[in-house]
Amino acid sequence: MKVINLHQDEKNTIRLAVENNRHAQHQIYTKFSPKMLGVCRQYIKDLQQAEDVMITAFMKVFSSLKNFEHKGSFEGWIRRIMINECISFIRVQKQVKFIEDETFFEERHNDIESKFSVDDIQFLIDSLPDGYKMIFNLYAIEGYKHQEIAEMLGINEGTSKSQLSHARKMLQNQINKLKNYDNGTE
Amino acid sequence: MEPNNIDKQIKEKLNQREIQPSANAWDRLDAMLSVEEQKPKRSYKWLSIAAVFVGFTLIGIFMMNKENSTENVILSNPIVLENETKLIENESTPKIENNLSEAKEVEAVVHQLTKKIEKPSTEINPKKDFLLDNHSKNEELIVESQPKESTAKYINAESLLAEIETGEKIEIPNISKKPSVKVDANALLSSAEKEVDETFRDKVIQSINKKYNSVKSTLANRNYE
Repeated sequence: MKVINLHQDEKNTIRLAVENNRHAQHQIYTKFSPKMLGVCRQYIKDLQQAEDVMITAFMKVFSSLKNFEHKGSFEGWIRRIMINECISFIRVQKQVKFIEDETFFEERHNDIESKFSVDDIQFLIDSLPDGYKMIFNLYAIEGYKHQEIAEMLGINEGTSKSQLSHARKMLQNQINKLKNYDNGTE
Repeated sequence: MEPNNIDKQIKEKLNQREIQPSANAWDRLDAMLSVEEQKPKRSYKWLSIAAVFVGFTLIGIFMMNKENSTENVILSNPIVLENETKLIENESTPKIENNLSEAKEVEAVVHQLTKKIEKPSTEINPKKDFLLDNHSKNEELIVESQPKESTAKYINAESLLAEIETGEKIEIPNISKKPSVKVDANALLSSAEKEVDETFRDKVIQSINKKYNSVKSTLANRNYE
């Protein structure tokens, strides 16, 4: 019953937000903004810029809210808008160029030790170039397929794969560095 | 499952992460939303209303222009035709009159010639009959009388010509003035009718405008109320 009520509540708030009810819009914002700022922060290193992008993405959320069909989760829908906004921001601002390189390596895997905090992980991701970062985020965290990523970024599927492997390799190196640093300090 | 392990861990940790946006973030969004709210609503409404109104007025103007143009054509054509016919009449009548005057001149010349012919005949006779003083006197009288007649005729011809000429001069302006006055009257009437129609249309348009504005204002106010 609670779930249904929550669902009904969400539907109602969405309906009100579509009618430009500021209170409903604020409710949606307060509910999702911290998570969405986290998502934007994954792609954009500068927190202020990430917040700007989040705000513009929320503008899009509210302007296209009437098109939201209540299929799938509302959060997922907002998240997609956020990610698209982040990608377009990075592409426009930083003019990321993907190297058309289709060589990718077998991945060596190293478990991230659970002592790594979110900030550590964010630090690792931040250290990646924007192209690698985008593809890694899209593939590893959002769970998009290479084909989808290729379409989103306007690149070849092979490029997406190779970029991901490069990103993974770089990430691994960073993890090892962190580990060594940690070990060194211990 | 191993390859996804790092991803999984990163994903889990990142998905759990929440970053509280700055306090003024909502205010900014709120401002943007209110700006966006006012913009599209008003612009779309006003644009649509304005577009419809402009469209109607344009159609109306076109229709009125068409009506006016047809009226003008209908009115202007007869005027032109009348003028033309009058001009033709003016042109033709003097020609005829000129011809007539020429003919009269010719007649006068003929008369003169006949009189001249008559003169020598009379003159020859006295040469033949020198003794006949009466004849000569008569002839002289005749000669005297004939030139008088001829001069009178000449005067008459000239006066006629002059009269014709003057008559033409007088007639032409008379003829030309009369139709011009008539044309002016028609034009004035038509223009007056047009003016009356235009003022009526303006009044109608103005009243429609006022009603539209009142409806617009009520609609706009309703949203705010």
